[in-house]
This record gives sequence, C-alpha cells and structure tokens, in this order.
Amino acid sequence: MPHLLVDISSHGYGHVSQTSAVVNELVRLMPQLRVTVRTTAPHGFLKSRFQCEFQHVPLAFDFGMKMANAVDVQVAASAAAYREFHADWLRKVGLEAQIMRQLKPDLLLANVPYLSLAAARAADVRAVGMCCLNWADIYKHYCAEDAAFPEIHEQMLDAYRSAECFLKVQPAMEMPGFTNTRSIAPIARVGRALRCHIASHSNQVEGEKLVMVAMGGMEFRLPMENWPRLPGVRWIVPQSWGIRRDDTISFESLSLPFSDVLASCDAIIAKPGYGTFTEAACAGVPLLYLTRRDWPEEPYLVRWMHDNAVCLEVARAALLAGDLEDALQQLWSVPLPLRPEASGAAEAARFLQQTFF
Amino acid sequence: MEQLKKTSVVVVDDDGMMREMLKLVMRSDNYSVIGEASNGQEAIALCNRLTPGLVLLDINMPKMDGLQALEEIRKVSPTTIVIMVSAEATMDRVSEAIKKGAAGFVVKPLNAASVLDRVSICLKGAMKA
Repeated sequence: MPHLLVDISSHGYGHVSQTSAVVNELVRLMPQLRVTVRTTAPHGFLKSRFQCEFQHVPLAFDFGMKMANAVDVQVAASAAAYREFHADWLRKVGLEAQIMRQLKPDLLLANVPYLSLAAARAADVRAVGMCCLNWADIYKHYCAEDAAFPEIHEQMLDAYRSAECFLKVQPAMEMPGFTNTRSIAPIARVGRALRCHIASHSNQVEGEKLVMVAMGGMEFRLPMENWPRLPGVRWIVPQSWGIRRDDTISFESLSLPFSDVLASCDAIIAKPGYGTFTEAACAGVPLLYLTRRDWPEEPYLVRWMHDNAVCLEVARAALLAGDLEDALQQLWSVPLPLRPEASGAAEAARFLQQTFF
Repeated sequence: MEQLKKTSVVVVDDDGMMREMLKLVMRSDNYSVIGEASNGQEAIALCNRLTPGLVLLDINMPKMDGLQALEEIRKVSPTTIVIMVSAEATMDRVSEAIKKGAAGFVVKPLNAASVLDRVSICLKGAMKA
C-alpha cells in the first residue's frame, strides 16, 4: 500500500487548507493510498479538511515567524528563534531522518517545513515541497540584517532545493532562489451560493446586498456600533464580536461553511490571506481589503487579485469609521472578470500520482 | 550519554496520536520503548511489572490523572524517572509535579529535538541527584 507522508507548517491554517485539497484529490485517484499527516494544527480542523482516513502525528517542524498578534511580526524574536533553531541544524536533520525511516513513506509532501525536506534527503525519501510561500524568502525579508542570516538562509534554500519538485501554488511569491519550481493553478474551496438559505435563517430583506466582514479574530474587531447604516446593505459578522444591530447577521447563526457564506455574498471585507483571496476570486465575489503592508507574500496576492477579481484597498481609518459606501458602490459598478479556475488541487494530485506512484 | 540512550521508556497518554508521536521520537534517538498506557492506572501496573528507566507521563487523563499516577509510580518503582508531558505548564502544575517526584516537564506542542533535549537534561539531572 503506497504511503504518503504529509508535513504541514502550523503557522496559520492556510497550509492545511491547501494541502488537504491536494491530498483529497490524490486519494480520489488512489483510494489505496495510506496517509500520515504531521502537524500541530488541531485534530478537529484536520478532520474537517481531510476527507480520507489519516494518521495524525502532532509534531512541529518550524515556527514560521514569531508573531505579536495575527499580523505583526516580531522581527528580533524571530531572528533569535531562527538562530536557536539552526544552532544544531545537522542534529535536527539527523533526528528527523531517523523518524522518517521509521515511517517508511514512499513520498513526502511538505507544505512547507524545510526541515522535513532536509530530513527526507538524509533518509533517502522522495520529496515534494508545495506552497504559495516559503520560509526562506519570508526569513530573508525580515531578518537579512542578522549576522547569522547567510548561513541559516543557505541551509533553508538548500533544503528547499533538495526536493525533487516545489509546487508553486498560484498566486505565489516569486521564489528566485529556487531551481525546482513547477507552477500550479490556484487551490481554493469554491463555495455554493445559498442566498435562499441565508434569507430563511436571518432577517435579510429581499434585494438587500450581503457583505461579509471577515477580518479574523477578536483582535480585529471593528467598532461597527459606530458605523453609519448603509441602506440596502446587511453585514455578516463574527458572533464573537457581539455586535447588536438589526442590519447584521452573525456568521455562526447560518451554520454554513465559510466558503458557502462567502459565495453567497455580494462583497467581502478582509485582510490579505491566500484562502480568503482565492476563494473570493474563484467565487466571483468582490473584495475590499485592508493591507498589512509588511508581509512579503502580500504584493503577489494583491496583484493577482487585481488581475483576477474586482477588489479595492480600503484605508484603515475608513474601515474603522464604516465609511465604506462609496467603495462598495465602486466595487459593484465594475463588471466581474472571468473567474479564475481553482484547478490547482486536481493538477497537483495528477502530477504527484503520475510522477511518484 | 550512551547509557542514557539505552534507557527503557514507557509512554503514557490517553491520546493515541501523542503516544505514537512520542514513541517515534524516542526511538529515533535509540531509546527503547518497552510499553505504553492510556491512563494512570495502566501506567502504574506497567511500571510495577516492567520497572522502566523512564516514564513520559501525560497529566490530563481519564480514570487517574498523571499527577496521581506519578505518586503511585514513585512508590511501586522508585528507580523509575518520571517526566511529565502536558500542554499546561503553569508554575503551579510544574511545582506540584516536581514536589511529587517528577524529574522534569515537557510542554506540548512538541518537536522532536526539544523533546529529546528535555529528556536528556532531565535524565542527567535525575541521575546526578
């Protein structure tokens, strides 16, 4: 029985979403495939994303960047953590290689821990990297001035280059240091437009526009109590924000997956993130976004969104004040471009099956 | 160090995934995993029977939690070194465990190198004591 080992960075859940979509497709092509997933992402979330049987090993291989909150990177702490992480790099690679030999996989799919890829080479296991970003380029963006940078960065790049292939999921960072990339189409879960369900489970009035506000957790709670009422607009907001306005619907009360609610909306307000951006574009939902500015993946995501969807940047002050009417009207006045196809998962799965099994 | 690496190990956690992970990690550094248990009662019985060199003991478990089990293990197998494994490493928890005879603490979530480093430090410390 062929065995796929899947190692996933635990920095946010986007890596799980991308990877599970590919693994689900691969298992559809190869029902006999045995899957082991190693990540510290919560088991419940993995169960909701992986549609196949899998063994979960809760191990971490990286930490991404040290974060003060969902968007603010702690640069000095990250540089120090990387110095510590790489202080005994060869020993770590050796240990992970030993573990990999015990697991005996036929292929490693890494999204996107480079330690796993280095260990796969040491254990003589075939390996593929996959992601829209990589930690070498993220580390370079923030920590290039650190004294240890040249050596650490080279170890990262060397590990990534050791993969037989790196599947660069579009929209992706440029990755100029990589010699083994293969571009694949976007991976997105395209939801079902269920406006009737939403109308029947809420106080939505016929003809009202639905706008989803999806900024992340409590730290991005917007002061919507102070927002002016926009005629003909109903907001879908997280229940945890505790907003008490009769022109809002709580997201949780709809009991629908995020993708379905998104696909049912007339617009979404979000911060840049691979999943939300690609899902909005592929579902043809216009987007207002608040930029993070310093996250190095963001320019690539934003550029792709402008090429493939209707979107506008919104200023932080306008968002806090709810001064959004003009921006929304502008979004709705522009014809939607042809929706990009979310065919990356099927494409990646076909490639893996044909090349490695 | 070579002597430490031959230490026999029992892994105790109610979560099968965690047990599998700890077994993989310990074996990768040549420790000999001789048993596993999913609750405190099973752990005590195993330690009584096998007298392992080391127990990796989860705290939150059904039937009998890790802290209760720790006290019993120290009675039935006084030479066994016990290291607690938990997601909750509050100062209270750590000091309670140390007071009851634990040699150290490993905090979840885990990576292989950090588990082995903690184990190695705790074993050395316990053997000196």
